[in-house]
Amino acid sequence: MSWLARLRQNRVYRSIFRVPIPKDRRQRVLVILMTFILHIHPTTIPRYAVRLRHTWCMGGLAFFLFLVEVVTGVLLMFYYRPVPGTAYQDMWELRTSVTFGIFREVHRWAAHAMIIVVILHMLRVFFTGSYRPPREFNWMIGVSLLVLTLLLSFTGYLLPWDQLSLWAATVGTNMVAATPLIGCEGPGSQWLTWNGVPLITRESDLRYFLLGSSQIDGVALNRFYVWHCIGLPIFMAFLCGLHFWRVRKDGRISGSL
Amino acid sequence: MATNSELKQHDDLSQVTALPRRSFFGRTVRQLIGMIAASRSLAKVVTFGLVTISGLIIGSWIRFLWPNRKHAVGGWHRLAHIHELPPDSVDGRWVMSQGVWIVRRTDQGRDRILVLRAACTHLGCTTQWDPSLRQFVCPCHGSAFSLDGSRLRGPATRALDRCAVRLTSEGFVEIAPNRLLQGKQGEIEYL
Repeated sequence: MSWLARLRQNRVYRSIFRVPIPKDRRQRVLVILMTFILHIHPTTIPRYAVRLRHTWCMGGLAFFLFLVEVVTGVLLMFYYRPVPGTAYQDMWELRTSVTFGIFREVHRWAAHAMIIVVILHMLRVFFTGSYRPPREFNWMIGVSLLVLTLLLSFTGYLLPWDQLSLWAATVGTNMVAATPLIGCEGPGSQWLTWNGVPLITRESDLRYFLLGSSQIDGVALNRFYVWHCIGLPIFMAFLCGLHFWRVRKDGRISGSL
Repeated sequence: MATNSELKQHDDLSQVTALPRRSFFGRTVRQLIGMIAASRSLAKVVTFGLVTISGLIIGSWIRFLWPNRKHAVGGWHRLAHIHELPPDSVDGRWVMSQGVWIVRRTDQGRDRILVLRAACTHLGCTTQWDPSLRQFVCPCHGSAFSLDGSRLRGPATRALDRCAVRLTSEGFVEIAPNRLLQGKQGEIEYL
């Protein structure tokens, strides 16, 4: 008896996989249908759906890169401390002293790749007209996912805490100050006054709310860190689930309807 | 098994239909996948591959998390001059930085210096010096130790650990924080 067959008779194995390996079409359908992990996948797919040329596999690749970011990001959190005195040093030690510190670079490369892949995914959906009814709501979820991807990139960019990230975050958040009404340099903010005292100042506008401070300092670094590691990924995971569910409900993977 | 005549036919290039370059790669990959799938060991190959790759990846995670830096510092650390330590005193100035009490006491007419680890031998809380009782008391579970570190009350089961200590010729008290001693060792006499 081969070790694989012996493994399949093992009590622990059988407690996890309660049905034998499916041999015929009906059993395979049942396995996909009944297994929690596999239920995201349709029981049957149209023949054209496996053609790489049809989707470029970009949605799946984007999700794969998101998973890479989650795994490597959790690993980086074990070393990185989001404090001005240690942030740059911890990042640098990941690059120089930590064994398999290349996970830091993997995190960065995968982030760049994710932007490219997400945009290619959007282009593909656009060129195949897959945003049209009944998929228009899923297109909107996709746009939100694109915005979340860009925000994750932006918040992650500050975390190395070097000159590049500091000034990038300074420039990026100064643009927020130009928001109409609630940005201190935005149009209409001068109208919001209380007994002649301006309500929207550098210490009370949207930028201040985002940074928790009027400049990029330790408070802002901590805020970016929490958004990057907890806040945005939670939204991302939720919207990904919604996105995949809608793919299934809106007439399966990008075929013509 | 191909016979000689079949091989000869293959050699004849006029018999071969031209394959467009674009579909060559796809066809090759499909052929390879088909060959693996047709063999009975497909499940073994796939399982072995998956287990190996996941093992390598998870192994790299564990190695990544394993810290390379050693924070402990070896060698001798100069703490105080003997004249800073009055007789029969407990000095707590190095509890925060080095985790030690410096005790100077008189025993059997001899002036002695010993350095006690402040960590309680029960579960490691930092002991406090109680001047009225003249005891080291642990705030966590109430263990008590006498001036020379010996155990007075549980739940600790043994005396406080001692650091290796030496007195330089200039009269400086130096300790080796990494060298822990137990029992009655590590006490120096000062005459």
